[in-house]
Amino acid sequence: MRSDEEDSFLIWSHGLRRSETNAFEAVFDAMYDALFRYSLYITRDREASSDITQDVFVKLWQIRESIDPDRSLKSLLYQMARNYSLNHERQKKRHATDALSDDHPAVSHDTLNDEHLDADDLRKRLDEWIEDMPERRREAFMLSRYEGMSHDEIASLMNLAPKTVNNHIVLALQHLRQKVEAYNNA
Amino acid sequence: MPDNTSPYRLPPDLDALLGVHEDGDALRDMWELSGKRDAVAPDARRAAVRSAVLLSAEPRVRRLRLVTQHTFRFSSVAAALLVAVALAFLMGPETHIQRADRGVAASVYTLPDGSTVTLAAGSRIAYDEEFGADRDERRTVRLRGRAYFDVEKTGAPFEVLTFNSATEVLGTTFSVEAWPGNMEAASDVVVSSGRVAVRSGDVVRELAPGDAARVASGQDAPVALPDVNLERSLSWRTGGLAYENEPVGNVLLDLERRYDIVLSAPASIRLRRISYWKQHASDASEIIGDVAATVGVRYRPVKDGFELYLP
Repeated sequence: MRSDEEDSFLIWSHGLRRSETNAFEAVFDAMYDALFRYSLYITRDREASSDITQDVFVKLWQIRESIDPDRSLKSLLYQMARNYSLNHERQKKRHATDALSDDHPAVSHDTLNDEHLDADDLRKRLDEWIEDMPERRREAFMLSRYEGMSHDEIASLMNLAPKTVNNHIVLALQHLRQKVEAYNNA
Repeated sequence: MPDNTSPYRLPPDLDALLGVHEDGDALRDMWELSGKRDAVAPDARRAAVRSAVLLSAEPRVRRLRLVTQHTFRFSSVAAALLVAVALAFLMGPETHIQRADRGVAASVYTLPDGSTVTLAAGSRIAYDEEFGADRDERRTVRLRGRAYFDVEKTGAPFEVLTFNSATEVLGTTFSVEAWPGNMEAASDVVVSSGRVAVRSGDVVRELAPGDAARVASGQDAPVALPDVNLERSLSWRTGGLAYENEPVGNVLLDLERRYDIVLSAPASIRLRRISYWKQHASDASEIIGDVAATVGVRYRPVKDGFELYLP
């Protein structure tokens, strides 16, 4: 399974170097959704994530001749999506003062009267609790929990020591645990 | 590749870690619980992004550009082509070339046969030395860019060649626009008086006053452009600007030529579309401001021009 996937990416890398549009198309279809989600984990803005993912693919085609087939194309794409997303966040902060409105109103933290945790409510709460995590911790956790990346992959993508990734994820789980306990005791 | 809220198991390294953690079991529960989060809905814009992105990788346009810009790095075929082109230059009749300055909305030239041509900023026409010398000989003008022709009736056919089309007339007024470097590059022909025939490949389409046709790059046939506003589409000659559902990238290229400035924007902005009309375009900053507001992005002045960026 895994090596089939690696094979495909290797073939696409060579295809891209030869300017083959069908390879480009295949990479788009294989990676768009995952890169969009990753960008969304960082920016939490669907519109921006769509733009960013588009930029990633346009850039990929521009640099196609310099793609190194010995390096993972998939990692390259994640890395580009990450750089563009972080860049977007930096620009947003820089212009935060003249922003007319915030796309992301702060999530509400009202205490609940409800005693029990029904499924819908749980999903909503989960989103809020995950939102509450520090940015880098949330990113590492999302990649591990919802993208199935190994700690090594996350470490190299986020330029962290593998041990730091371990810490982030354990702390993320502890964060959730505290939230659940606070919720149950409310 | 999973595209849903995942059934991802605890990764082995984390499993080992939690095995020795004092709250290991509780944290394992949290892993399970977090799996109940709703899947991220796929991007609704995905299909549009897909076609735009694939368009930007259109091989034809790229290859044309490669041959002209990096001839030496490519095949012997390209080298042979270069030699052939050089020979044609050496042996054929001399070519006159007229370039319209960037930064000037419209410049008017008179051709040897008395016809006049109005060139938009940054456009170029070329014709042979013998143009119009013989009354029966076809008069051929090669165009890159945008031009409005007022053709003198001499009995000899008058022809405008672009990178992908030929437009033939006897005596009439019409405009041709063909920027081969544009996104979705095409040749657009708009007729204001008389009749013209637009040809691409083996297909010929006749146009009457008020008609317009487009030859898209890679398609060997002119297609009618319905609902063209003649006044607007010809307003560039008197300093107007008119774009109809145009990729922003093309608009920026046009404004660069029009104002002789440098405009930069990320691909995501360049791939958006805009419709915009201004009868008398004033200074660059006002127009850039309008464009940015219309597509919902920000802009700032930079050296020699402006930068558009996402909010």
